[in-house]
Amino acid sequence: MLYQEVLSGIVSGVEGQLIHVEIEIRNGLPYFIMVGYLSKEAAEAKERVASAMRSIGHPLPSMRITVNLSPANIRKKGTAFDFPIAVAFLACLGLIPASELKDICVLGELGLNGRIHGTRNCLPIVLEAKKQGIRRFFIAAEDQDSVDAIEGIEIILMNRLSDVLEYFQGRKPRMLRRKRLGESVPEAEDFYDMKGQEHLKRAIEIAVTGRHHLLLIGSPGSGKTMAIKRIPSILYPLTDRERFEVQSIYDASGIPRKIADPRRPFREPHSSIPFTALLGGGRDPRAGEITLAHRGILVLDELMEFRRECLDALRQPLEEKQIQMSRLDRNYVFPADFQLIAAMNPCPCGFALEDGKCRCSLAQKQRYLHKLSGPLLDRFDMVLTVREESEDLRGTRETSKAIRERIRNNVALEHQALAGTGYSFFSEIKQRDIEKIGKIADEGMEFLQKAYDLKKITKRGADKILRLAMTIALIDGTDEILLPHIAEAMTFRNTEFVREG
Amino acid sequence: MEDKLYWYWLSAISGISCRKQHQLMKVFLHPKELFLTPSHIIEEKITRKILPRFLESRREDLIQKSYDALEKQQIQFLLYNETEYPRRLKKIYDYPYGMFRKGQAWEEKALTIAVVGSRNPTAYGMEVTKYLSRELTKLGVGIVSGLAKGIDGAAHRGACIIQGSTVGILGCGIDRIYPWDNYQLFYEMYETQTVFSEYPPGTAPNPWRFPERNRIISGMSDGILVTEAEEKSGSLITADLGLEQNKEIFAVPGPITSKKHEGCHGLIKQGAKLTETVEDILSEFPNFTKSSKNIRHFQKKSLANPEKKVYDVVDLYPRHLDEIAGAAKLSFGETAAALFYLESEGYVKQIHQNIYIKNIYKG
Repeated sequence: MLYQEVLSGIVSGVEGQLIHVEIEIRNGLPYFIMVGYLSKEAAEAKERVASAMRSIGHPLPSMRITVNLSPANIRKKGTAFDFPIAVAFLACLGLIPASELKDICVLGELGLNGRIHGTRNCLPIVLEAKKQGIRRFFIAAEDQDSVDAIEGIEIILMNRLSDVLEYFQGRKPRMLRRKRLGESVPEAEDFYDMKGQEHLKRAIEIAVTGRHHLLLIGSPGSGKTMAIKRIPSILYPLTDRERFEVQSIYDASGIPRKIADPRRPFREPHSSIPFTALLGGGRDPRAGEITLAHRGILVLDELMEFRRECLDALRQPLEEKQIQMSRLDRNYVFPADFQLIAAMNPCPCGFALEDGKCRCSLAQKQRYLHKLSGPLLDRFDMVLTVREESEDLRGTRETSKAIRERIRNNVALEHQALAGTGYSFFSEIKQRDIEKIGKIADEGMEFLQKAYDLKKITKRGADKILRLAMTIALIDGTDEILLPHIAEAMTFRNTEFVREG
Repeated sequence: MEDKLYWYWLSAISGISCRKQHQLMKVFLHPKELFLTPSHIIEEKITRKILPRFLESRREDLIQKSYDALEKQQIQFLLYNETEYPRRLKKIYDYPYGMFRKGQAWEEKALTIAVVGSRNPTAYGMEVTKYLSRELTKLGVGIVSGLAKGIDGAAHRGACIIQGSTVGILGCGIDRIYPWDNYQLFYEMYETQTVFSEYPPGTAPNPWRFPERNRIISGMSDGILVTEAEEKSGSLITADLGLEQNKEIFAVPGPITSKKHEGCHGLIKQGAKLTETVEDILSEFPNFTKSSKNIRHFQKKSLANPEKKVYDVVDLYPRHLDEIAGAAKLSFGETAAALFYLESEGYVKQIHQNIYIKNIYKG
């Protein structure tokens, strides 16, 4: 009886999971069976492996063969098992040394002619294996792009099944040449196109620097969408660690993205998006837009056009920065650390902020705003009204590059200021730590107290204002939070925007 | 059946328009006669369209029941010859025989002004209306308006500071709250002021009732003040009716570039009195003896910088924080701090988030 085990993996949700491929060959009537809760494409590996083995001159022995993919209670999807099964056969047949296979993870699909094809989603698996201490990988040469930036592991690229034999015969393997991660590429839309609307531009800079969730309420044509479209041009690049997180999610979801791409995810789902596409879901859960926007920005333009259940369901991921989904076999956790930027009109006709232009009745306005639940509105750290720009457009303008550099420096300072606290952005600071971290000038505190006494803000609102004021103080280059910073932060609090007729 | 019930039947149940009621009364003299007249005679007098309803309505039990129901809803039915019926209204040629009233009794003032205007006003229109109506109220002038959205609401709200100083005339049944936007105002009016309607409870707010209702607004007042009106505005109908009834017309001007004020400017061109202050109105009524000493004038208050800089930029035309900071040449933080101070002291008002107007009462 012959037995061999080889490591491989699957993508489950957006994470990789290691799978042990076991084969057993014993005497008996010729028979080949694969077990282990396989999907159709995984079960078909049988035929591909048999042909590929024949093509390199080592047909499967006429014996009783059992292949098991363990753990056997997880559904195996994907075609990455062809290659590890074949490698296990080669070891069973004594063509390669079994002892060396212990710490190698093998991923790839086989062609009938012995060619090894990529699986397009091996990054999450490789990262998971690396976490578990695996240092050597056999990967299809086609998958080179998705794994070529990982440090500290040895990746051997394989083109054909026969390459495995040659590798163990001591021929020099084709090792992966490690690539440097790419730098920013200029975006098409630039803030230089936007004249005026200083307050809007300032708000966006504050929001991006401190990662505060932002809601724009404005008249049609006031420049909300125009400004949002330009946000990617001022975003700071992903860190190396974040790049792998993001790339894993995109690979697992089958959405094209290159690891060399340093841009933060910027997702703009259309308002007609169904629930599962926004939040994630399905029988075998797939990442929704909130997960695809992980470490980046989720834009919900025309917020009120979205289904109400979609909006309500955003509350939990906004709070926990992840989303959980329970399925029959397991509980999935998808990361969802996104910054929410939304835009909407103030009333059905859109002109409530323009003097004497709105013809909506109070009931119409209330019905319209009713869709936006209080708790969701509360998640926005910044709410901002945007009006049509008055006719003279003499406002200043600035290129996105200049803004980006400033934000990049400020974010670096922000990380520095928060080093050792467990936070990365001011918006994340928990209530109990606010006064520990922020140095608030006495005049600022008095001002806040006065606003509280006048019932202009609530206790919870005051915390939000302080977080925001920290970001504003940072942008203004002071260590201490001064009165103007608090006053400016207060302009972003949500005030009632329905007015009596 | 009681005498008053016949009148109630005529004006509220028979389905005959007010003008037609007057014509019929010239012939029949009293609704009781009309009630008892055989149907073949009446057929000659009224159109076929309303005839079936008219004939069906002549049922004493139903009339009595409907009249008794008024009390439960705290509605008074006033007949033209009763003392509580508005005195000025009787002078117009097609005054309603009966009026429904909710809220307090209406005490006739020495001077009553109708304040009307656009239903979608600018902030300027709202503030000016509220200001003028409040100042008039303080001098003991009664304010009549239509309880509509916009200017009408502002006129009533300005006058609500003193009990029994304003009256709202509806274009629908007295039991209805229309437009719903003003529901709070309606309850306030029931509590301290008066609401009138010539239509019986349950009447829907059909569009054609409003011009008809306007004759009552102008009829109950001595002068008509239009504070903001577009070129084709319902408030111009009120002004026209007022002219027919020989009332004084006043109009508040706006910027010449504003479409929202074209109606007012048109009135001024036709001879309406341009109105800036309460005195402009009072001077047309020399018999109204109230001293005008306590009329407030706009006055400059002394403020410190940077509040002064910011205050100088704020206007009755709503301005966004963005514009204010730009014009005052201050940072957003400084501007916001100054606005916060000005707002808490009552110098400015925030009408939407970060959109400010001046408070006319201060400064």
